[in-house]
Amino acid sequence: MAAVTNLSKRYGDVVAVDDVTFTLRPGTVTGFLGPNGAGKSTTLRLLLGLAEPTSGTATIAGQRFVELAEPWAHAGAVLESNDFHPGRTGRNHLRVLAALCEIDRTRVDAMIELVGLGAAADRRVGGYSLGMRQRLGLAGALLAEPPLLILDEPANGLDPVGVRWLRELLRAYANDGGAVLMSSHLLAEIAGTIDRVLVINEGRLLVDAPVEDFATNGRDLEHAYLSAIDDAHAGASR
Amino acid sequence: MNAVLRAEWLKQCTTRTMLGVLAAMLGTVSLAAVIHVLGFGVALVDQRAEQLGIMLDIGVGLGLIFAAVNGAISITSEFRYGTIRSSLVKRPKRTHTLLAKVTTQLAIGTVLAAVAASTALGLAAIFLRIRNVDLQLTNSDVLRLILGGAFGGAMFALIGLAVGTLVRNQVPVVVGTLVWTLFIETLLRGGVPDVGKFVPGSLARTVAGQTTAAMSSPAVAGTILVALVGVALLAARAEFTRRDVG
Repeated sequence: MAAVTNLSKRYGDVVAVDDVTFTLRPGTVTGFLGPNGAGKSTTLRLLLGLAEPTSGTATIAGQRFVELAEPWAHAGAVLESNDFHPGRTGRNHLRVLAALCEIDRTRVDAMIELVGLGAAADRRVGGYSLGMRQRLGLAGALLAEPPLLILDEPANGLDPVGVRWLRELLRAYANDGGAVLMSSHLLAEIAGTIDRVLVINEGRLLVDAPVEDFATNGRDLEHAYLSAIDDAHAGASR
Repeated sequence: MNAVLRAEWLKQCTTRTMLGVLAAMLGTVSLAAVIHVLGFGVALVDQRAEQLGIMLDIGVGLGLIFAAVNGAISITSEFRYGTIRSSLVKRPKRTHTLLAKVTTQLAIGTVLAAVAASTALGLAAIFLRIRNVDLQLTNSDVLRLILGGAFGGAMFALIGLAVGTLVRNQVPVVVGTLVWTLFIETLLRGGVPDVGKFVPGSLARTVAGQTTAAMSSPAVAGTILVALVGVALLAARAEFTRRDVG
């Protein structure tokens, strides 16, 4: 469904992503974990063609995202929680995206209902809370019913009810055969949702494992994650 | 490509930005008309040459500025608010995105500048009548002011779009556009006419009827302006397709 192979990205002397390889499988929610500046967002941008890799490849459905005939039908994404014009209504934001995807407007209404923004859809996004923006972003990502979702910190700003809603939405999406790649700092919020874990630190992929193999021996996801980061730092200082 | 164009129109029509630019332009043109046509002595507004100069300044000149600002905002607001990411994630072919913006700004710039020139002419006619001064402009002058202004507006909208694509940051682009059009071009036209006649504002004004600090042939001026816009858009495309979107 999606494959990242020996992917690297340099900005001058800074190595943002260093020889990263992983694949995304249908029916799986993959958590993409790492500290700030670890290379998570850069990897997602490389996968979606917003940035050019220095070396390596990132493909979706076997092709670079920018080369797909109908890219919107292969992947939906939310990369920032604020990617909206504040003066545009939520409904009109989705209408613009629907026009780009050549999708009927009825799908816009369905997505608004799905993410629970019915009452706010005709208000300007500038008045939305962070949680409402996250929901609107998800509606945009799901608009064309893609088999792959790429989400950068989707739980940010969601209240507990919103986090539960997100978990249920992503689980149902994966159960229907979709693949999700979701970066997050909020380990507790995603712990019950993910099937696989990718841990990245200083651009290098440290862990690529099923979540049950990663968080074993009584360790919860947060403990296992912190141990992996600490081990990486200890290894780097030796 | 049609889908990208349709989405671009929707983007333009679903915020208040374009209406804001239009309202600001009409307000500025009206104020300038009051100052120039009502405020100046009769001796400064009763001859054809003076009337033409005023119309080129407040009708054509202001139309060019607002067209350029709108063109610049059309792309810089996408970077400012991050909507460029959600757009490119749906349609990653950046040349198509830029082409859709070129098409819409061509149309919007044309209309904005034609409205500015028509408004200035209409207000001038009213204000001159109030002062018992005849409008000395010929039908040919009026037609050239409106059509030449509209052509210049289209070109300036594309210049704004190209500069906005190259720089991306909205505030410097808008401030730079205003500084260039209001001050630098004016200084060059007045102080170094041999150079000033080649700046975009002079080229557009020449097409619209300017004769001082201007090229002798409006057709040549228009051709040079189109060539400048073409170069600017090619540079913008190269930058837009090459540079990462953060």
